[in-house]
Amino acid sequence: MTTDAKKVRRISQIRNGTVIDHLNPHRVFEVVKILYIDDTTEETVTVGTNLQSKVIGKKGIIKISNRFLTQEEVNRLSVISPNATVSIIEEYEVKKKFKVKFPQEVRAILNCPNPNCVTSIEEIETRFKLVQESPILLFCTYCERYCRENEIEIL
Amino acid sequence: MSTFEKRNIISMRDFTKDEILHVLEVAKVMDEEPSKYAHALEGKILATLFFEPSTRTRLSFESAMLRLGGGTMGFADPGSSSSKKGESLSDSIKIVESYADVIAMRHPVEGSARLASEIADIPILNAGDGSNQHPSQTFLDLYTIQQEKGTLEGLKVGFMGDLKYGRTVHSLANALGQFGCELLFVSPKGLEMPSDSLEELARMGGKFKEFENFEEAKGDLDILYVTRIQRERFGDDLDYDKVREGYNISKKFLEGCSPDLRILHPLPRVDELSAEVDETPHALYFRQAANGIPTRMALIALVMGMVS
Repeated sequence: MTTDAKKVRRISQIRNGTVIDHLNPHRVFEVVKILYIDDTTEETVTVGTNLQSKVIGKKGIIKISNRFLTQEEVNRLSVISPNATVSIIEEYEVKKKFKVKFPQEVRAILNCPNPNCVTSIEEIETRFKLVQESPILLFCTYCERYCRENEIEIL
Repeated sequence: MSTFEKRNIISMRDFTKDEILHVLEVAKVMDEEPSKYAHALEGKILATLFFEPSTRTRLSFESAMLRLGGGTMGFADPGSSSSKKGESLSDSIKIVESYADVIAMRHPVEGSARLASEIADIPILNAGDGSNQHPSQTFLDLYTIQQEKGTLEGLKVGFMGDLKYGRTVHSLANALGQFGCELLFVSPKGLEMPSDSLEELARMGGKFKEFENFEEAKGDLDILYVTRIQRERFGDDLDYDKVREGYNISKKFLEGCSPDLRILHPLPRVDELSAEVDETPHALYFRQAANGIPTRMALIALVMGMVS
């Protein structure tokens, strides 16, 4: 068994699925939301928040059995929790580790902070371009307003 | 450079420097030989959808289309359109696109023109979307500057007045930044250029400085772009009156400026630009307004594929 696998087993006893670790503890439930986990979800899901972490002080964690996140889904997390780590587990072993990568375009996840933006008025998908990763700076494709990390709001 | 045929004119950010220069070149042709294109768009229809009134811009688009031999239809008052009855913008555009060949649209909501361009198969010309973009104004400003100075490269351009809310200032400054112009922003406290616009300029390597009064900035300016300071931006009339004094352009105010300084103003003006300046060689704003016609003719002809 690899060291990684031991680590994962300490925080997760899932046999198959995905472990999302080192989440910003203030935004765990928003991550739940953007992964479309709700009362219709059939998989076993464990959500932990305000857990002690040697690396980031307090952290959040989500474990989803029998669901394997894609790189695209992982990238969506980065919008609100850029330091998260994602492990794909098979038979208690870490099969794959994703580095969260900020997508060049963010679609249908975030609200535009501009109340006079057409996306706040008409029923259309929001779209932001990534201008800068650190600190995060997004650009609304429609109203052309810049959006900073503290203005980012999940739909 | 991608072709302009069927292209939308939504935001100055969509155009490269070469594309901007190409539009200005076509505007020059329209300006110098309008009769050559008098029948170019015969049988074609421009719809002017003004969900927010703007008589001058609408008339300018309509005149441009008529001078190209095309016809126009539309509404000037949102009260007479279906949006008043609660119809979505998407539905309005879907309907109108079957009636016309090109749409010029003004709307109070930011991003509405971009949305319209995604819905319609015919070209959309943004005639102003809220406080965001008004690209035909920026093209005509650039055309006027180029026509007068012979170039857009490396000029020293001052912007004075309400720089916070003036969308024409933001997109013109951004475009001139691309041409390596040195930009001097003169505005009262509270009406400075928005930090987002300045940061964007800095990211593209633009050169700019901020000033609170014109005296420090006037030096050897080539162009001064003036915008109106509106009373409603100030808490009380006393503050407004105090500020207004320092931003009132008269002959005396321009003493010490270069004789080659030219003044632009998107108009309408109130009292920020004295009528006595009209007779000086500095006044370029009426020519600027007239340049709306060849510039809009160029934009319409380009997106309709009548000129390449």
